[in-house]
Amino acid sequence: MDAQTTQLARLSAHTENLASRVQALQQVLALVEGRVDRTTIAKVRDVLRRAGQRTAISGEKTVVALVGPTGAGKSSLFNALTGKHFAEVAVRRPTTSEARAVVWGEKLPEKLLDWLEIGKRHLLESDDPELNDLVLIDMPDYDSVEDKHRETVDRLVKVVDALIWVVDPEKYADAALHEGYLKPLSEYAEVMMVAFNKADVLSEADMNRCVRDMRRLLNDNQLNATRIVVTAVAFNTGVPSLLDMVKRTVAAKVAMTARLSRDISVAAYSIEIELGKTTPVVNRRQVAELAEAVSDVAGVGEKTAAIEQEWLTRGQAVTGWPFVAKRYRRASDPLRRVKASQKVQLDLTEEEGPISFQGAVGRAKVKEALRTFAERLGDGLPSGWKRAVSTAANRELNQLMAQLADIAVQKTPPLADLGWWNAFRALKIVCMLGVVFGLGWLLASPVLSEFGYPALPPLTWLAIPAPLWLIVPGLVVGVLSGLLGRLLVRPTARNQAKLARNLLIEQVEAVVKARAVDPVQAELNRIAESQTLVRRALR
Amino acid sequence: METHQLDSALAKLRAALAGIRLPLHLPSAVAADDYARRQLAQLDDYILPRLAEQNAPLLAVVGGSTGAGKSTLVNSLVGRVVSPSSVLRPTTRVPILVHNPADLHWFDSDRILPGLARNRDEEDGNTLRLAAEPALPEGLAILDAPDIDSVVTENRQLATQLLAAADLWIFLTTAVRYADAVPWDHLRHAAERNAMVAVVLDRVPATATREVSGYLAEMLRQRGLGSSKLFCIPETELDGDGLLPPALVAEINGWLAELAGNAAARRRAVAQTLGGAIEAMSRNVPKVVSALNEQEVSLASLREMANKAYREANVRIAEQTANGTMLRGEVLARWHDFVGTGQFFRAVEQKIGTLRDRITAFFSGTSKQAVQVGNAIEAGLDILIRQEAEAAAGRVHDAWDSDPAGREVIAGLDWNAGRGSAELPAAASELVRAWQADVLRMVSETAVPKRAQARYLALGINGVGVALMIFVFAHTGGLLGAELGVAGGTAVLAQRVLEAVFGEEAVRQLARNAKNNLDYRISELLNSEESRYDSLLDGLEVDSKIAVELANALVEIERSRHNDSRLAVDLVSEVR
Repeated sequence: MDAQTTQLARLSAHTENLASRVQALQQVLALVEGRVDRTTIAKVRDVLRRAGQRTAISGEKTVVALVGPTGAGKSSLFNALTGKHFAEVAVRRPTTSEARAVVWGEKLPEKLLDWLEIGKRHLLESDDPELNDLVLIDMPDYDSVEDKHRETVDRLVKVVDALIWVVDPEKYADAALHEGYLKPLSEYAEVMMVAFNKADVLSEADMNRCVRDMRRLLNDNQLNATRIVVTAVAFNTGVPSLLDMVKRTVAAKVAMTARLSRDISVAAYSIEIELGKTTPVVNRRQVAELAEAVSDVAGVGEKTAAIEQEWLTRGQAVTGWPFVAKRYRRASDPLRRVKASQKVQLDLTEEEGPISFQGAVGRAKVKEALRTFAERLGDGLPSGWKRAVSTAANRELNQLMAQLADIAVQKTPPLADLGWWNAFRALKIVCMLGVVFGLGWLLASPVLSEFGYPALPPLTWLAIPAPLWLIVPGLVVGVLSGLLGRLLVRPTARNQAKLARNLLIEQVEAVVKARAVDPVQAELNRIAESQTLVRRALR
Repeated sequence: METHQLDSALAKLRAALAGIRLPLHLPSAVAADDYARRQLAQLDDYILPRLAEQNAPLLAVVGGSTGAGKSTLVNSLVGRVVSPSSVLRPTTRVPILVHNPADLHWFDSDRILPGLARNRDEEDGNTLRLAAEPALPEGLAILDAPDIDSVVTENRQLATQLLAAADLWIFLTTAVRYADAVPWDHLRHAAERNAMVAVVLDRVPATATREVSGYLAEMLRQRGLGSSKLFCIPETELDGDGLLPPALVAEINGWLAELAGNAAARRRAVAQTLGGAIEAMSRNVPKVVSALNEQEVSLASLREMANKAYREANVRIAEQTANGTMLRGEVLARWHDFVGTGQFFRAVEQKIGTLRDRITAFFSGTSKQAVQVGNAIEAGLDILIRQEAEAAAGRVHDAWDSDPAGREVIAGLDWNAGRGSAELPAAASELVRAWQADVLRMVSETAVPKRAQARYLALGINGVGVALMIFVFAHTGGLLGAELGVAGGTAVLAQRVLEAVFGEEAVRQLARNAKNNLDYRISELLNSEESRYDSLLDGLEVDSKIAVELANALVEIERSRHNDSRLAVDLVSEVR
C-alpha cells in the first residue's frame, strides 16, 4: 500500500531469521573478544541481551511509545488515542513525570511491563480487535530541567518497538530533538512516525510550510521513511489516521521484529567495520621463507657444510689411491666439533630459557623473522587484528627456540658407502694386487738365484718383461682411478649435502609450522569465521 | 589610578587567553578551549569596551528558545516591524540591534562586538544589523539574538556570544517552554555571573497566568534569580503587522524607559553585570590554567613513555654485548674456526714462550678466517641492535596507543609508529661497521712492545681486532655461573692472545675504550630513533608562560576589582 507498509512487509520475511542472526552475532562476540574495541563489544552485548529478553518475554505484543518535548501535547494525544483521560494535562511544565502504559485486551502483559519498568498500567477493554496486542506508552519529556525524565526516555527509546515523535510548531526544530534523538536513530526510520501536533494554532498555509520544513529536517537525517501526520487534538484532526497507522503496525506484527532486526544490523555493522573486508591466507612460500630465515638458528648451514665435508673425506678415502689419499677416520667427524660446542651451550640454563643457545643474536634473528612474517599477513587488517596476529606469531617463541636447538644438536646418521665406490674399491684392489705381484716377481728371480734355485723363466711380451706389465698398468690405472674418484666424489658430496639440507629444512619447517604458523593461521581463521558470521547477522 | 590597574590586568589576561593553545586531546582540553574562546570574545565584546565607556547606552539582549517569539517581542517593544518573524524555525539568523538615532555612534564602530560586521541592509553570515528607531529612548539599545536551541549550530553559538555581551538579559520563554533544559542552562550561567536578567513569559493561556507565573517565579527563586524581573504576556491575537497589542508590552516598555532615563539605575545595572562577569571570569580562568597544566603533564608523560622504551633498549643492548650472549652460534663457530679446536686450548695452557710459535702456527694464513669472525660479529650485532630498536618502537606505540592523548598523536601518521625508522637497517649496519673500523684503528694505534712485534704481525691486525671484540663481549659485563663455561673459555683465549701482544694493562684499557665506543654509538642511534617521537610532540608544546601570565593577571584583577569604582553596585553615582 504505502511505502511504510511495504517496508514492514519486507521486514516480516526476516522474522524467522532473527533467531539465527542473534545466534550468529553471539558467536561473533566470542570470536572477536580482545581484537575489537571494548566499547563496541559492550554495546553489541547490550543489544543482544535486550533482543533476547524482548523476544523471550512477549513476542506478540507491539509496544508503541509517544515521545516528545515538554508541552508538545503528548499526553493530550495519548488521551485522544485511548479515548480516556488517563494522562494528566496541565500548564505546569514538565507535566508527565512517569511513563504510563495502556494495553488493549484481556490481560496485562505484566512481564513485559516489568521489563519496560513501567509502573502505571491500564487495561482497556477492546471493542476493536485491531487494537489487541497493542501496548501504548506515554513518556515523559526529554528536554526539561528534570534530568530524570530524560533518563527515562533514553532508556525506553532503546527498547520499545515503534516510536511516535510528538512535536508542535514551536519546538519542531529544536536541536535537542534532531541532534539528540532523530539523527542517532536514523537507522530506525521505518519504525518511527512524527505527529505534528497543535495544528490548530497556525493557519493551514503556515502549517503546511512548517510540515515541509520538518520533512526537510527529517530527510537531512536520512529519515525519509518516517511519516508525518498532522494532528490537532482539540479538533480531533489527524488522530484517527494516526490511530490507523498504529493499528496497521500492530496488525503487521512486525514492528518488534523490525526494531530488533535493525538493532542487530546496527550492532553487526559496528563489528563488521572492525573486521576488514579481506582475510589474508598463509601460503607455502611464506612458510618456506620463514623457515629459511630461522634455519641458521637451527644450525642448518653449519651442519650442511659439515656433512658435505664428511662425504668428501670419506668418498676420497674409499676411492683414492691408498698411498696418496688421506685416511678417513670416523673419529675425526667434522660434525663432532659443531655438536660439541653447541652441546655445551644447551646445557646452560638461563631464566629466559633457550636464549642461551645461539645467544641473543639467535633470538633476535627469530624475532625479526616472525615480525616480517606477521607483518606481511597483518597488512590491511584493522589494528586490533594486526596486534592479535603478531601476538599469535610470538606466543610460542620459547618452544620454537628450544625445538630449533633440538634440530641443531640431533645426530646425523652415519653415511653408507655408495655402490660405485665399491667398483672403485675393487679396481683399486686389483691394481694393488697387480703391483704387489709384479714387484714380487721382479724380486723373486735374484732372490731365487742367490739361494741356488733356478731363476724363473724370463717371460717377456713385446720385449718387455712380464712383471712390468703388471706394475706399470697397475700404478697408472690405480692413480688415474684415484683421481677420477676424487672428481666424482665432489658432486656426490654436494648432492648429499643438499639432501641433508632439505631434510633439515623440512624439520625446521615442521617446527616453524607448529609453533608460529599454526597459531597465526588460527587467528586468521578466527577473522574469516567472524566475517562469515557477521554477514549472516547482517542479513 | 586603580581603574588603570584593572584595565591593564584585563588586557594582560586577554593577551594570555589569546595565546592559549591546547593541542593534546585531553578530556579537559575541549571544555577549556571552548571556555577560553568564549571568554576572549566576552572580553572584546563586552568587558573591555564597557569598562572604557561607562556612559555608552545600556545594551539589552533579547534571547530565548526557537519559536518563543523574540522577533515579535522586539517589534512590539519598538512599535514597528524591524525584525521579520515567521512560523518557520529558526527565524532570526542575523542579529538586529535597535537603537535611538542619537546613539548611532556608539554602535557604528568596532567598539563592541568587533567580530561582527555592521550591516544595515543585507543578511549574510557574521554580521550585525543596525536599525535606528526614534521611538526607543536614548541610552538604551535592544538586540534581537538568534535562538539558543536552534538546530543551526552557528545560531546557538552566536546567541551565546551575544548574551555574554549584554548589560541586561531579556530572556523570553513561553508557557510551553518555560521548563526546557536549554534555556535554564543559560539562565544558570546568567545567575553564576550575576547578570541582570528580566524574564518574559509569553503566550500564557489566560486561564493559567497565575499558576504558570507563580511556578516560574518559584523556579527562578530556586536557581538564584529571585531578584529578576518577571513579565507575563498572555496568549493573544497579533495585529496586522504581527505586533502584540501595545497594552501588553507597556509594562516592559515602561520598565526599560525608566532604566534608560535614570543614569544611576543604568550605572547600577552596568556595574552589576560587569562586576559579575569579571568575578565569574576570575572563578573560571583557573580551570583553563589547570587544563594547561594537564597538557604539560600529559606531554611530559608521553615523552617519558618514549624515553623509557629506548632507555630500556639501550640497557638491554649494553647488557647483551657484555654478558657473553653474543658469543654463541655463528660468532662462536667462526671464532673456533679461527683459533682452531683442541690444539689451541692446549696451546694456551703452555708457557708463553712456546705459545708464540703455536699462535703463529694457528693464525698464520688465517686472516681470511679472522675476517669471517668479524663478519659474524657484524651480522650478529647488527640484528641485535635492530631487533631491540624495533621492540622499543613497538613499546612506544603500545604505550601511546593506550593513552587518549597519545592515540591522537599517532593517528594518521604517514609512517608506522610501531616500527623502527626507515633508516634503521642502514644506520645499524653502518654503526657496526664504523665500530669495527674504530676497534681496528685502536688496535693499530696501540703501541706494541718490541718483543711482541712478531706475534702481532703473525696474528694480523684483523686477528687482534676480532680477539679484542670477543674479549669485549665477554669481559666487561662480568660473567656469572654457567656463562663462564663457554664464553669464559672463549674470552680467556682472546685475553691471553691480546695480553701476549699488548700486555695486561693495555688490554684492559683497549677493551674499555672499545666498549665505551660501542655504547656511545648505540645510544646515538637510539636517540635518533627516539627523536622521531619527540619531534611529534615538539609541535604540541604548551607555552608554559601562558599559565603563569594567566595566574598573574588573575591575581591583579582580584586585587584591583574590589577598589574599582566602576564596579561598585551601590551608591557612588546615586549619592552624586
